[in-house]
Amino acid sequence: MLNWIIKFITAAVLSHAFFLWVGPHIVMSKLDKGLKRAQTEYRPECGERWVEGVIYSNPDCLSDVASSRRPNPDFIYTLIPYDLKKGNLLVSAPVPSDDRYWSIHAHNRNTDAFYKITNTEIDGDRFKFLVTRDRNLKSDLSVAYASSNKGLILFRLTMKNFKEYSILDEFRRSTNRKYVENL
Amino acid sequence: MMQNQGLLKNTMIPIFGGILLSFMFFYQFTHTTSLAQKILGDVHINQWISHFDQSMEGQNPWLRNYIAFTGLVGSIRPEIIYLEAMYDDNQTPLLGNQDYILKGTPPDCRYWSFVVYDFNNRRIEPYEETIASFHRIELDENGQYEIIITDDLRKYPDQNAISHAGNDFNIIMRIYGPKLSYYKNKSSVPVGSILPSKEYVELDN
Repeated sequence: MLNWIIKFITAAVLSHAFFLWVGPHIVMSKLDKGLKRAQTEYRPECGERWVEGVIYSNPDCLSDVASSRRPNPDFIYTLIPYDLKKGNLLVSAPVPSDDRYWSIHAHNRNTDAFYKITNTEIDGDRFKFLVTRDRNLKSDLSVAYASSNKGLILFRLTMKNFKEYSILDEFRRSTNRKYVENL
Repeated sequence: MMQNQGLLKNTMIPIFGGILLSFMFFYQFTHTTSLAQKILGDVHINQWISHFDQSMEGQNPWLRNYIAFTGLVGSIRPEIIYLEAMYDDNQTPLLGNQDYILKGTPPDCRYWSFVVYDFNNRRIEPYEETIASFHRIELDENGQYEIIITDDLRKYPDQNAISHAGNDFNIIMRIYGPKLSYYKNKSSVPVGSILPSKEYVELDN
């Protein structure tokens, strides 16, 4: 009987550790699929969602995305999935005035955030930063040190009312990203 | 034959039993369940469960999964406080066949909002009617908000109202850029009361 209990507990503990590890990765894989659809399927009502590695999500098109849970209707989300095997990532984005909430978060593959900045911390109307795994990398730019090669950058931009969408959508579309080997 | 039965009884059953139990426990942390809410919330204030920046590196893995499955990604502090409620002030689940009054004092922060979602954490359509945020809510003379949550906004013209569209629901309160003292005293985050509208009218009288 003791042997039976040991097997039962061992199986429970090991499988639970596995579920805890794999859970966030499953969610991120679902997100990958959603982003791939945004890249490959053009839907007029959603606009151009994938432009050179930047995903401009449209609030009207969020309900059919399997990974989309509890999005804030007030927010316009912009996403940049990245893979640092291709090099360090240089991101440049327009910054709105402080009267509306705007932020950038960078997330590892397991969904943990490792970098955050908001518009109240930035002077000027444009912000550039680097994402790297190289902890020794120093730069004049702000540097976000990632723990995994793959991950996600998420921008949140607030709409004060829903009529602002087209203006703010145009505003955010000067966001760009490129992989750089040397600085 | 006997050997197979022995293998099944002594090895396969305990292993599969362990995996099944483990999965059932794990599943609780992939949805908004009472168990997840009891175990994971930072601070419980009335029926509200608060989460202070859930995506910190090195956080506990159950919370990481809960956030990943119910909201995808969170934040690092000090930036975002989420509060969620599944019950009204009487600890009764929030039902789609009732109207409710959500009332309280706004938090001190850059942005706050209330959004209702269905029990599977999916948004309710039309999503524009499911949100009350500080950009659009009118406060009363005491600086308080009073928001009606209903299945039909036409019942409450010219009032602060949002829609659950007849769905059983939960409510998320988002506080972005909160004042830092909330992190020192987590119970000081102001939360709203949620009462069925009939009961609220009786109390008001």
